[in-house]
Amino acid sequence: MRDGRLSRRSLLGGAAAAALAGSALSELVSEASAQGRADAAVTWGEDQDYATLDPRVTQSRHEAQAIMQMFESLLFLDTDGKFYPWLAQRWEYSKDGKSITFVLRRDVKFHDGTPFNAEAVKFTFDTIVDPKLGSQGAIDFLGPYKSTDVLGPYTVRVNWTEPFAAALTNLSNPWLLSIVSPTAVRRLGNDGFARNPVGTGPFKFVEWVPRVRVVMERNEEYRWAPRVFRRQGPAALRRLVIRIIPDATTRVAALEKGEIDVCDQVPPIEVRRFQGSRDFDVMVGDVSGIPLSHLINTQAPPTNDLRVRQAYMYAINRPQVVQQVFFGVAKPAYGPITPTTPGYWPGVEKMYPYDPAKARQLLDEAGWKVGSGGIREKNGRPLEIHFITLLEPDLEVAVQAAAKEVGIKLNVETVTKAKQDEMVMHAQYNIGEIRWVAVDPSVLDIPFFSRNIPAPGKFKFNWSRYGSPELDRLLRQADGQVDVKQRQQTLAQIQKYVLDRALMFPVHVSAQPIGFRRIVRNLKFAQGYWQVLFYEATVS
Amino acid sequence: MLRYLARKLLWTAPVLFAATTCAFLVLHLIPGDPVNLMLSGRPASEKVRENLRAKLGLNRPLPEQYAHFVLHAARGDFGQSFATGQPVSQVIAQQLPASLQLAGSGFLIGVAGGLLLGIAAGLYPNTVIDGIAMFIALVGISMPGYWTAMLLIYVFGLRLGWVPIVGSGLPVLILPSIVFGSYAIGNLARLVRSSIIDVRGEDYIRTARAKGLPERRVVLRHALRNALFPVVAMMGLLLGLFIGGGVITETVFARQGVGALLVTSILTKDYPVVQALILLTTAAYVFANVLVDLLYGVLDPRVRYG
Repeated sequence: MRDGRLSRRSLLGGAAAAALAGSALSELVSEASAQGRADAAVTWGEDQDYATLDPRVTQSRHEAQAIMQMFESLLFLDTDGKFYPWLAQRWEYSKDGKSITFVLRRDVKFHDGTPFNAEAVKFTFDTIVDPKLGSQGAIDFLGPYKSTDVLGPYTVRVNWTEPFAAALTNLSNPWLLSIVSPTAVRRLGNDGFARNPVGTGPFKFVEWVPRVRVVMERNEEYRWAPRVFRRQGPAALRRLVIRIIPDATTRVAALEKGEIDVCDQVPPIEVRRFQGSRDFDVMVGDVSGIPLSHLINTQAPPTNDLRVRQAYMYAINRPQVVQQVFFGVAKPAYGPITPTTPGYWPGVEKMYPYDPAKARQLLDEAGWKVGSGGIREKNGRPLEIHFITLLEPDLEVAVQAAAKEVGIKLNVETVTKAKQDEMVMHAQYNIGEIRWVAVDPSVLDIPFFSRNIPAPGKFKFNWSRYGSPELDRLLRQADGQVDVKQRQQTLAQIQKYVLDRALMFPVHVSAQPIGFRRIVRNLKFAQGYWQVLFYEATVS
Repeated sequence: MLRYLARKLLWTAPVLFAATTCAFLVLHLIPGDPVNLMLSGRPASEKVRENLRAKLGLNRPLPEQYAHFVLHAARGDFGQSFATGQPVSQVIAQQLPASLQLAGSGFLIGVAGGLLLGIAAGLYPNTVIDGIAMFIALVGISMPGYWTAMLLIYVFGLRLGWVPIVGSGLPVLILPSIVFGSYAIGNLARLVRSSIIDVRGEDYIRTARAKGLPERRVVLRHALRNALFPVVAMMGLLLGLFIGGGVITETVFARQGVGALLVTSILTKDYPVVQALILLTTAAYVFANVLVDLLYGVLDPRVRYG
């Protein structure tokens, strides 16, 4: 953990950082908390194991936690929703909206000493779309990518086949479209690079012991942090260790004991205890993207009846259920994207308030009469809804109780991922769970575009199995609208459309509770509120 | 003896072959698409899926995949992990030492604890000592490993602070070894106890006492040696179990190991890793059994192999 030695290098490094920081008055004031101990090491407890550390290949937000300390993107999207220069100093859209030209910084170096330049950007994007790489996330994130042109040693133009509204947002993603060192990839090969990543970030890779830990150390050459950070030179921490501890109870115990300093995904039941304690605190991120929601199968009875779907949505008291299960750590959700996602339409909060009387009325209208045992019946058959759960069985049991109140029998079945996938592809369910961490509203394509209806052999996420040309048109329109105001209007329409037809029942915003020892300061959530950036972190 | 050994070893090849073929068939028949599971269900486009499928060789017909696997396995090449692309032998080599460490220390604690408790109970049956020993044994067998682990972490790791939880160094083995060995302690204690009680009723024990030997000599020299036969058989079984099955202990204590690796690989359908591990575990069982047979020969002069 902490190493008491203060080497001359880190002293000089610390002094250089202090000199840079001391040049502005406001930075002088925050100097005390920004410095901390220049030799400090912090250990982060991670809840899932890694398979790759290559940003071009990964699709895991857990691997992202390590990757985003070592790699950087062309622009920085802060949690305030604004773009800031990062590896690119400025950028400009072409008139037809299909290209963006970036002017790059000239003073950036990769961890292996080679220079960052236009060639590196082109190499990164071109290799992402190369089938030999086997990219799992980045390739879809590049959208309708066509090519990248090198216009000068530090000028690139990225081209798409059609206007891509999510371009800037996606390019700002530091763990999917961040820039890799071409020299390192050529030297190590793709598989080798995945285990020995080389980027431009404030931390560089030291070692990876599979299933146990990833170790990173401070990049002493780092001087190109986005202006968003008060700090501008090398990181304060000398060493950053990611210790993989899959079991939540063990992870929390390790935090309490001091074997780790920061803990990923603290269970809600522990959050209050840590927040009130003297030595620890918890910061809770409200994750953007799609909240934990129920997708309702519009093709299978009884949920093929709109009235039944709507009754289900009116029957459940979201704030109460969420409070019961998450002790106030997660907030209820009312729309297909969370309030922290750009394009969120507040109008969703007025739709489907808790109204059991309305639910009962709708079910009566649909011909479902209350039978013996309180469960409704029609033509001798009970109102049974088959619910498959993988992500949050505790929540679904609470929902089951609420549904029973209005006469719906919710059959909750807990399944493994493999079983869930099979059932989804073969339409053997009425309701399934979904949630998605995302920063751009184009995430709405995933559950609502008609081409995403699953079929045997084709695993996709339109589990409500609803496809209409009109919804497709709206989604495509939003994806291509580069003008923010226009896009906002289209997105509002989409959110209302989806809820009008009761395709999805949003339940709660996903919470990312990060537990940490109070001596660790200046932890910052990355865009999306799932991962944490350690660049400015200090240990006092 | 040598002929016996040779025969035993000759049988290992067909046993290994049968085990891995079964594993291969079952893996491919149960539902779940490795490519889909690798992508964690993310909405990857068709081209991403096809690329992955081709890269992993999954687009070839089943018999071809099987032949490919067998031919390469015979040469010691188990292919590459679907998840990381690393050679499977490397993946397993990285995880194996930790498993062997845990198996070794767990086995030691299990055997030592089991023998101690069993002998005490066997020598003083129906006394307080017997009661306490059998209670501990019952707890060891019945308490789920996960629960034992949590209790130990809470009491000894957190409240008393005597041992590390997930830290580093040798002391980090203490809690996991106790959890891992608790099942063995329970089983062995009961087995040893009844073996000793049985043996003490035998004629040759009465003869030894009649000869005037001190009780301690009677127990150590005569009773114990004969009581150990069923125990040795049980130990063989436990050894095989230990090498393959530490998944709960490994997961709760965030340790490396082939147990957790096996479970993860099954859930994500990482075929090459699963097949190699099945081979490994089967070999471990076979080896343990041969060892047990040899031990019999050493312990019991009446046993002759030919």
